[in-house]
Amino acid sequence: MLSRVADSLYWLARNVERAENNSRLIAVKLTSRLENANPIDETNQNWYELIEISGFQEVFDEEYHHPIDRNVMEFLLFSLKNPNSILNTITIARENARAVREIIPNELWESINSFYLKLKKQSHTPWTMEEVSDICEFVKKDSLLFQGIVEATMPRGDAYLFMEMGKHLERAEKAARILDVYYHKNLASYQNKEIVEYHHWWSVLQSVSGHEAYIKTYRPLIKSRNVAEFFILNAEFPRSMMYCIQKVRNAFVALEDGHVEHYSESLAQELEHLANDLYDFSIEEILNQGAHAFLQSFQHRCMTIGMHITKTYYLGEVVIP
Amino acid sequence: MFHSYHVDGYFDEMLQKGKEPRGHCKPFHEKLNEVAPEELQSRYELAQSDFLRQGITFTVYSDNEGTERTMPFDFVPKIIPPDEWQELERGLMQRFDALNAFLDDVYHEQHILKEGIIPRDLVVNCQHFFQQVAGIDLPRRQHIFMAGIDLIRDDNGEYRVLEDNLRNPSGLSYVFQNRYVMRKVYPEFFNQYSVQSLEQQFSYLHSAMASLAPEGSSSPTIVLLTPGVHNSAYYDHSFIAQRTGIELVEGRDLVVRERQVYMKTARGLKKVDVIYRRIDDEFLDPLEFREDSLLGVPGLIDVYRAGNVSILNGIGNGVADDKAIYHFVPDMIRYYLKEEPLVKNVDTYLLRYDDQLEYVLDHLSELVVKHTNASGGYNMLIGPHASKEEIEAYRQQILKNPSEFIAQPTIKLSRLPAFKEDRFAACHVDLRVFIFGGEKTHVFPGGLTRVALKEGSLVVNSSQGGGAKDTWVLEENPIHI
Repeated sequence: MLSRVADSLYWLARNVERAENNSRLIAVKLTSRLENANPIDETNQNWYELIEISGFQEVFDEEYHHPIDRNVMEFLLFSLKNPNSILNTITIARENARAVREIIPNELWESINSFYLKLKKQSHTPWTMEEVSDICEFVKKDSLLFQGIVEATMPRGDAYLFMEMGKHLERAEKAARILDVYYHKNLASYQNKEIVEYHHWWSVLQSVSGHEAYIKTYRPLIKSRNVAEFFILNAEFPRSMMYCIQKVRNAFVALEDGHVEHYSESLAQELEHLANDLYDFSIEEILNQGAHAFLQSFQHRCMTIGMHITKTYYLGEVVIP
Repeated sequence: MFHSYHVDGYFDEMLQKGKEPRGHCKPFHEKLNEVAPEELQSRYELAQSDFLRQGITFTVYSDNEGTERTMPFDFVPKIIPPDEWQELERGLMQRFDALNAFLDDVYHEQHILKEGIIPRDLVVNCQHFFQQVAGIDLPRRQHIFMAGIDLIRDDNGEYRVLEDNLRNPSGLSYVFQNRYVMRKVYPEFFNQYSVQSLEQQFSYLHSAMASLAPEGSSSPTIVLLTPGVHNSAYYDHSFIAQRTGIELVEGRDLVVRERQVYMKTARGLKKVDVIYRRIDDEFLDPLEFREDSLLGVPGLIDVYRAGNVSILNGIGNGVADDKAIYHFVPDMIRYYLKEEPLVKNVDTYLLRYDDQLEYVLDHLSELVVKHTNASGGYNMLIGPHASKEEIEAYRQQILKNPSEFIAQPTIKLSRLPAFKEDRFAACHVDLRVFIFGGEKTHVFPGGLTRVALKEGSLVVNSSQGGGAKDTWVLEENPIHI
């Protein structure tokens, strides 16, 4: 497979995953806002978390100045200035798909193309805040349709495995980022601390659609320790960091037929170390290091793995000497 | 639907004088009259949205944002009876073989020039004649892998060749898409017809490419070289690559090492044997042609010269589809094949000859004049439709360098009905037929029927308001299932 093709597939999967994660986050925020105990002073701070998770605070501050509803929504959904806006990620995904449309199933191309066309059309309408939850729902559904077509129609060869690596690396990184931002929040100052805390962690779980799975493991007792354990170490939940890293590693092993050659050594090591760490540590050990430090280092290691993938398979613009 | 329809003045491919359908169009015509106009309209919209969903679009740039448009599809097909097609097929194969012989000759011994059949200066001064590739022996001496020959029908319904496209003819994917959409959206129109299928064509296409590989490569690696996703024919490229099962590459995916071409894969370099390129000659190799080309591969021509890679279509083919050389194609057929041409040219005046120049300048308002280096329907004068000022401006252009122009009588392109919401209108059509060479010369059944949807317009190019129709070649012995 051409390196350029592998690169497109990898970023195609990453960007669709990114769009889906972002739409889930927005949808959860919308609902939690409706139910929030002290809404007025809460609002701005709440929205701002989403912008933090998107990773482009400076761009937002420069463009909008005020984190009021519509500004935030426009920034996250449709802004061309925000590299991670849903419209931008789907545009990139579609361009990547177009560059490899002879490689992927036609159904997959049609699904991402229709996804893009719908989104683009939506961005030109005078949409209102009331429509945002419908928009998020449609983004989520179209991403799921995309993944479903991948699962149901693609042979498990190189093309599939590069997409698999991209998708799960993106998911792992995003899970860490969400948890980190929420963990950071100081809840001590609230009067009705217990309710706020419950609400807070419930939202975190919802944003990865993990609330139902969580209850099955921990009963409806929402504690930060348990939420962290679920997010980081659960081996069965498909959006936990542990699960996603394991998936990236499996895809790598399949791609290399179980061998480790000289050229793939650093990627193999990096993946093994991270997977081992997750396996060896208990949640207490992690929390003792400090959740923030751990999650930061995890995100950093995901980026390193991404760089090793790029090097190992000559992804992107590569100059071969 | 047909009362405002006119059949006079031009050859109508479906209806005769008195609006009686021609024999082979009768069942279709009857069906047309059975379906309600509203029904036709809703199906028309369905067909267009299908093209959009599949991303079969070309991009039109205005202000900063590119708008994607679909090529309008008109569902009334061009129907070709079997005997008419067989005759045409023979004529096109003859033409293809003569053009190929001409290319091999002008890049080797140049017999045809030595014998004075074609003026030498016309060939060597042609901007598409490349001395760089003279003397290279191509596998099977095949310079043309794929030709797209544009045909029109005159007042009497006789087919004539308008243009031979021997460089990078595009549109093959549309032939298939038109058929898919037609089958999907208008299935019942096929009921009483047995239409030649297009499905097995890609296996022929693949074996043709493989048969043109450098000697000794038993299972050659074949790639299609595209300028990339922003090229207006990108859909064509990706469709052909997908259907023939070959790799779609860009210039940056290829690299030359020790007189071999390689592609950069995720697991290192892999040798390439055949390149079906959809990049113009001038952009192929910055070391030999345009230095500023970012699309090509440095060193590619050297590998070609060494015989280590096949490039399809051959480099320098443009000398044979030049608008002035066109005039001499019937002579080529007589010279190389010792046969009389089966499909005629459109009469052409070469303005390099004083007597012809004089005649043309006296009759500008009746003629179509074309610049020999322009394509896509640009920079041409359609005399009968031009204003006095336009004619005068063009006259000045001609006088600057007459040998760069040719003229033809205004061709009365034949017409077919096209759907216009509540009625049918007679619109002009032409036909691009795809022919490919390899072990043997093969003609794709049918081709791309282009239609000038603006009523009265003679320009069928998609960049100027043209659309497409499905093209049916009927089976000789209808198979009834």
